[in-house]
Amino acid sequence: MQRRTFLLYSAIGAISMTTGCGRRPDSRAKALETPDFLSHICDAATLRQLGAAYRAQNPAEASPDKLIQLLKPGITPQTVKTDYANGNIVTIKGWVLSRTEARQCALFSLDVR
Amino acid sequence: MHIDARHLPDNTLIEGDICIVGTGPAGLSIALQWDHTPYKVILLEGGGLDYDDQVQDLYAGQVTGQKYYPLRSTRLHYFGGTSNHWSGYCSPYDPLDFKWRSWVPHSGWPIDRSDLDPYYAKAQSILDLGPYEYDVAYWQKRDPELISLLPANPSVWNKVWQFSPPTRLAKKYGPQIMASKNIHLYTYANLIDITANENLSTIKDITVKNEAGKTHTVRAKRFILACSTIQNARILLSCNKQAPNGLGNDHDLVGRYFMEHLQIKSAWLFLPTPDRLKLYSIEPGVTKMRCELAITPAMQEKYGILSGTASLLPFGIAQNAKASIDTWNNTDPRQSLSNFRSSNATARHSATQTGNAGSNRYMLSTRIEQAPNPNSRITLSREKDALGMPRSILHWELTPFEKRSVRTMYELIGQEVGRAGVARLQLMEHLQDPGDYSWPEFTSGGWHHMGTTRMGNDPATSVVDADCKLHGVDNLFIAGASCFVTAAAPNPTLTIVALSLRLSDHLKKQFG
Repeated sequence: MQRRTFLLYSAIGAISMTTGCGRRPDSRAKALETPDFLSHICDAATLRQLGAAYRAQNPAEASPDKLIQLLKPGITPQTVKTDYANGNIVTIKGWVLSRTEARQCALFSLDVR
Repeated sequence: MHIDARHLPDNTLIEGDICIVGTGPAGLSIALQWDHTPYKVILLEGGGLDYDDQVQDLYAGQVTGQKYYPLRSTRLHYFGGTSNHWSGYCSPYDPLDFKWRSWVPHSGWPIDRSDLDPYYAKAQSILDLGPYEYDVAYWQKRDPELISLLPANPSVWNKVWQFSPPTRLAKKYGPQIMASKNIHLYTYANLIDITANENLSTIKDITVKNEAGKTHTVRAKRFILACSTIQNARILLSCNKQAPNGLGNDHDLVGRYFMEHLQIKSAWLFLPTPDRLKLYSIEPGVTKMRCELAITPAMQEKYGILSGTASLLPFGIAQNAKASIDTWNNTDPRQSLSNFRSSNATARHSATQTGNAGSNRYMLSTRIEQAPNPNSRITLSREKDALGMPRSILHWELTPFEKRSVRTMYELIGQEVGRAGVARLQLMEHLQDPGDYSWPEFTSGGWHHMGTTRMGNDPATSVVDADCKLHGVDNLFIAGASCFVTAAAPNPTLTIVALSLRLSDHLKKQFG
């Protein structure tokens, strides 16, 4: 377990830069839009599809401003784990996701460039 | 001692102390316990020592309801029974599986897991398994590479399976049976009738027949039906000359509550880096134990779900694996087995070709109990087999309860792997809509037939008592999975043998 966890956190920084999710005009969005763990296992297209599906399921959260408001700064892997621990999860296209990472996908899926 | 009943003079009277009908895991396990005793054991097998397609045809039947395998090929009708092609997966039922569960209608055995524990331990030996140790920690101490995906988790635990070689019981124990002085094995002796006394409280004798046209009578002090779940019910229902609804069927329960294990691919597990997940992997013929992910009793109760487990299969194999229901589709069990093995070998070979040292994607497949359901049942057809016995009709009926349980199980696993930060889970399409209670075409069973002569203390709700004795009849006992009240998640053979050994001990006490 320790080895797996170590590898996971070692890789987070690198992967988060490879999902094609940068260069947004809103610096707040850039900081919030990358679902770290999910970026290890999904490509950018899948993340966008999940985000679009989340926005369709939650129209009240479909705008960038609303998502930025909901995704408070300082998101860490622990934030996501806490979501899971508290049952704050959503099922999007079959994926069992934490609410936070689903919102991150939603923000990522919005073309605000 | 072995006697071919086809070669006996017609209308031979065979007498003994105890008569066991059937030589599968239940019947043979019991018979072995009586070797070198002063009691004469009559052991009846409907088929021969080897496969005989004409005899196998006696198992043909009709299926309605949920799509299922051809009944003709789901069991084997010769010495050793279905142990001649079982795959060897073994795990004991959990303590919760025996208890009454408020959220599972018709649940609750009249015995506890502790009643079976000593017999489980003995069954391990009969089936060539390892020690009676099903705590994952025991195995992890011996192999540090057996790392748990979710250690000490409140919702998901590691249920251990052990693997028999698999033991072919006839091959292993046949020589002992043949050499025994007090066990008399009669092949080609199919039970076709049971005769009781006038008030149906005692069985006087049974009639056996074969396709050579010979009919014989067997008298004994105790009779044990150990013919498999479908056949046990079929026999009781068709023995209706004295009891119009069938023997032991005053309450219309014989044949009802037929249960199977649903086996169905259900979800994908994604890891951030490739991992062998050795604790959960299996190499057929090599692996002695592995784990499947199971939901803890507390969470089963909290969410009101059935007991099930999830096995992990690397994507490289899973992408080429066919559902059992699509490969086991021939009425000839030899052909179905060949199709099944060939399909599995192809899937594993293709994975080897692509270098499958570890995977970051696994398919999760469910094995889950079917809820006891009186409408899921065995009845008799108007069509008769070559010996004049009505053929079986299986109506396999699932309910929304099973579908909801499968979905909830994976939602819980998905939540826990997320909480642990080790993986993400995606439900397969057939589980994505919470309002969809249909079953996809690839829904399979485990060839595990259970429940048609369920055990219980109340004759109004059960067929046999806690000692597997037919209610109201003092010398007829039932052995095998037909006595199971609930199906649990594990393959049933280990529990069949354990329950049969318990029955054997009970009879020994009766004989003093």
